[in-house]
Amino acid sequence: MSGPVSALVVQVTSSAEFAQSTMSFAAPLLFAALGALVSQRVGVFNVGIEGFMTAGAFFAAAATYYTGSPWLGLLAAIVAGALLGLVMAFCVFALGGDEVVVGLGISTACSGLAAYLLLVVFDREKALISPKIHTLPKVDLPVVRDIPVLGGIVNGHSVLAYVSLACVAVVAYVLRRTSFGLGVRCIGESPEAAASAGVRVERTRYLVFVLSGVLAAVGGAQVSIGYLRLFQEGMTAGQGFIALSASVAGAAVPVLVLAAVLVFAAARAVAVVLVTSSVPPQFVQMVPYAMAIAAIVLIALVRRARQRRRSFALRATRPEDQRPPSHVAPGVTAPSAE
Amino acid sequence: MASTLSLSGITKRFGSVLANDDVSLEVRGGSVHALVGENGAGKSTLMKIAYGLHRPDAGEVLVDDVAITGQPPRTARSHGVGMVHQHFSLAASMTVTENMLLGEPSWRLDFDEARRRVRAISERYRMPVDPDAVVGNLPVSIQQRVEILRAFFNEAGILIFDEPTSVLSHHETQELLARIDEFRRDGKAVLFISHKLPEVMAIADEVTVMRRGRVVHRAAADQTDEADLVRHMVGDFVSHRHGSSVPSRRGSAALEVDGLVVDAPESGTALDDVALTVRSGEVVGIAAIAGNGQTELVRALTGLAPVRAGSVRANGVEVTHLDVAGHRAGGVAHMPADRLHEGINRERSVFDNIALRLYRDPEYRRGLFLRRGAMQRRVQELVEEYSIRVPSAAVPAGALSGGNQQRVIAARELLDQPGVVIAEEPTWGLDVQAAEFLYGQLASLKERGAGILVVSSDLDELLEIADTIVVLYRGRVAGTVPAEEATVERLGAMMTGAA
Repeated sequence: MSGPVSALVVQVTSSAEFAQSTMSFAAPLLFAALGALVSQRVGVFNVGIEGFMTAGAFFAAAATYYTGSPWLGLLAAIVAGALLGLVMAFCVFALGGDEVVVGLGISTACSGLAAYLLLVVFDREKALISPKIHTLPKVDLPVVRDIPVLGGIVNGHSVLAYVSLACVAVVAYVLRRTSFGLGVRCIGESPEAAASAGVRVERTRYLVFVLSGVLAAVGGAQVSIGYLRLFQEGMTAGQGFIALSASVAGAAVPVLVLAAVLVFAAARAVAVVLVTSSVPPQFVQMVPYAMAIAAIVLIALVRRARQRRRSFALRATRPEDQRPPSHVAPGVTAPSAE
Repeated sequence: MASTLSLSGITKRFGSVLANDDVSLEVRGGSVHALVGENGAGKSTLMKIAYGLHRPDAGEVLVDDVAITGQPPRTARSHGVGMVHQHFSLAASMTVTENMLLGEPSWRLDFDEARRRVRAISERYRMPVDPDAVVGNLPVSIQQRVEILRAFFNEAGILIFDEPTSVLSHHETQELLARIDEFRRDGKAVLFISHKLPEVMAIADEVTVMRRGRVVHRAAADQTDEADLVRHMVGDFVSHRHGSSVPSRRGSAALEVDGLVVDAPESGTALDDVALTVRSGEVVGIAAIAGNGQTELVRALTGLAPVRAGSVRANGVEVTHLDVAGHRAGGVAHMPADRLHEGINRERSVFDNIALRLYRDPEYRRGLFLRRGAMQRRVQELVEEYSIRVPSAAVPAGALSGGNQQRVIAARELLDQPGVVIAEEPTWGLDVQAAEFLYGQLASLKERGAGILVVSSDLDELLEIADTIVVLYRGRVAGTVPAEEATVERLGAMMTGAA
C-alpha cells in the first residue's frame, strides 16, 4: 500500500506544476496568516480573519466590476478590511466582548453580507462572474524567467504574491525593531506591564486590528482578483481558519509562519494535482485540513518538550523558590541568587 | 530633572472601601521618604495613583508643581517619575534592552545606542546587567534591577519602590538599600514603601505612617523609632506573645509520619525516610531553607502528592494513600502557602470560599439541594468570629487584603475543629494584627488538643510558636530539637547541612 502511495507523492511533488500552484496558494494564506499573527501578538486569537478575507474577496471583485480597475478593487478590499478591523477591536476592547464569539460573529456576518449584496446589488445568486472583472497584473521578472525550472516556479505570479513575501519581512522588522512592535509584543505578554512601561495600549491594539483586517482582506482580494476573476459564495473556503492555524503553528514568529503557510499551501497543491489521479476526490480535498491539524499537534509536542527542558534549566539557575521568598533569619546563609 | 513629587488631598474609593482618605505626601530630590503601614492601609493604592495607574476621586499629583493627576503612566514617565513595582512590569520574553525601549515615543529605534546607554547606566549605578539577556531567564533580584535601570534609562528623577524587598533575600535587601542610598546622594527623590521597619529605619529621611487609608503619623527618621512606628501602624493594639506561652499538654499522637518516601516532582525535592510525630496539643515547626522538601512534605501529608512508601496516620487513622477529600474527612486541615492560588478562589465570594467546607455536611443539605440560608447564617457567624473585615460575604475574596484573605482561609479550615492542622507560612506577608490573630487561633486549637504542624521560612516565628522543631535538609530529617533547646544558630547549622 505504502509503495504506490509514496511513489505517487514523489511523482506529484517533483512536478513543476506542483511548485507553481504551491506558490499561488501561498499568497492569500500568507496575507491572512500575517493578519492572524499580529493580532496573536496583542494576545487575541482572531477568528475574524475568515470574515476579513471574505469581505476582501467580495469588495475587491465588486469594486473591480464597477470601476474596471483591479487596483481600485484592491483599495476597496483594504478599506473594508480596515473598517472591519476597527469594528472588531471596538467590540472586543471597548465593549469587552469575547474575542472568539466576536470573531465568529464577524466571519458569519461577512459571508452573509456578501451573499446579501450579491443578490441585492448585482441580482446574482452564488457568484459574480463577469468579463468586467480583471485580475491584478502578473509580474514578469526579466532575468529570473530564463533560469531553468526555478524560473518557471518563481516567475509569472500575481503581483500580490511577491508583496506577500515582502510583508513577512516588513512585519518581522516592525515587531523586532520599532517601538510600535515592542509595544505590541509587550501587550501580548501583559497589558498591565505595557501600560506601566508607558505603551499606549488601546491605540496600539486598534492599530494592530486595522493592520490585521487590511492584511487578511488583501489576502481575500488575492483569492477573487489575483488569479481568478470572480467572486463566489464561500470561495475563501475556510482559508482564514487555515491561516489562523498557520499563525499558531508558527508561534506568531513571521519566518515560522511563512514556513507553516508553505506547508499548508503545498498540501492544497497536492490536492489539486491528485484530483486527476485515481485517489477519491473527497479524500484529496481533506488533505490540507488534515495537514493543518497534524502540523499543529506536532508543533505542540515539540514545544512542550522544549518547555520542559527550559524549566529544568531555569530551576538550575534559580535556587530560591519563587514564593514565598525566604526571610532567612540572621546567622543562616541562604544560597544567594548572585 | 524632576525633583519633587507631591500628592495633595488624594482620596480614592473602591466600591464601599475608602482606600485613600485625603492623603498628602511630598518627597524632594536627595531624600528618601518611607511610606509604612500594614497590608490594606492604602500604600500601594496611593503609589498607583502617583504613577497614573489609578485615577483619584479627589486630590492632585504634582511633579515640580506641574499637575499630572489622572494622566496615564506614560505622562508620569515623561515627567521623570519611575516606578519599581512589587510585581514587575517587564515583558519576560523580551531582552533587557527591548524592555528599556518600551514606550519610546519615536518609531524607529537605535538598538546599538540603547545598548550603550544600558551599559553606561548599569556601570554608573553599579548594577551590572547583560543588555541582551532575556528578562524571563533572569533571577528575580536581577529583574528588579532591570526595572530600576529602566527608570534611569527614562531619566527619572523620582523613584517609587513598592515593597521592593519583599522578593529579595536578606543579602539582596542590604545590597538594594546601599544602592538607594547612592541614588539619594545622586539627587534623586525616593519614595520607599515597606512594612519592614528595620529597613525603613536604615534608609529613610522621613517616614509617613498610613492606617486604614489615612496618614496617621509623620516624622523625621531621627525623631522616631520602630516601637513608635509600630504603635501608629497598629493603632491601639497592644503586642503580646502567643504560642509557646500556652502550656503544652501533649497527649496522644495526632499526626504520625513514619518512613515517608516521596518521589521528586518535576522540579522539586524527593523525600527520603521522613519520620515525625505531632502530638495532640503540640505545635511542631518545620524549618528548612526553600527547596529542601518542606513543600513536598506538606503535599504528601495533605493528599496532594502520591506517597511511594511509609505511612501517615492522622487522628489514629491511616490516611497515607487517601486523596485530598480523604484527608479532610480524616480531620486534616491545610492552610497553604500560596494563598492566592491554592488558599482561596479570588473570583468567588467570601461566602463561596467558606461554603466549600460546608456543603458536604448533611446539616446544610436537604436531599439534592443545599440549605443556602443555613449556610449563609453559618458563614456570617464565621465572618464575625474571625473578624473578617468585609462589607458583606458576597464580596469576591480577591478584593480583600492579604490579612483578611488569610482569615477567610482560617475560618474555612478550622471551622470543624480539625484534629490536625498543617499551616504553611501562616503569617507570611500579614500585618501584625492579622498575624497575632492567627497565632491566637492556633493557640486556642492547640489548647483544645489539635496537633499543629507549621512550616515557616521565618525562624523567629517558629521559635516563638513551636514546641518542637524538625529540620529538613535535602529531603531528610536533619534533626528534631525541642524549642527550649533551639537557637537560630543551631537550627541554621542544621538547615545548611553543617550539623
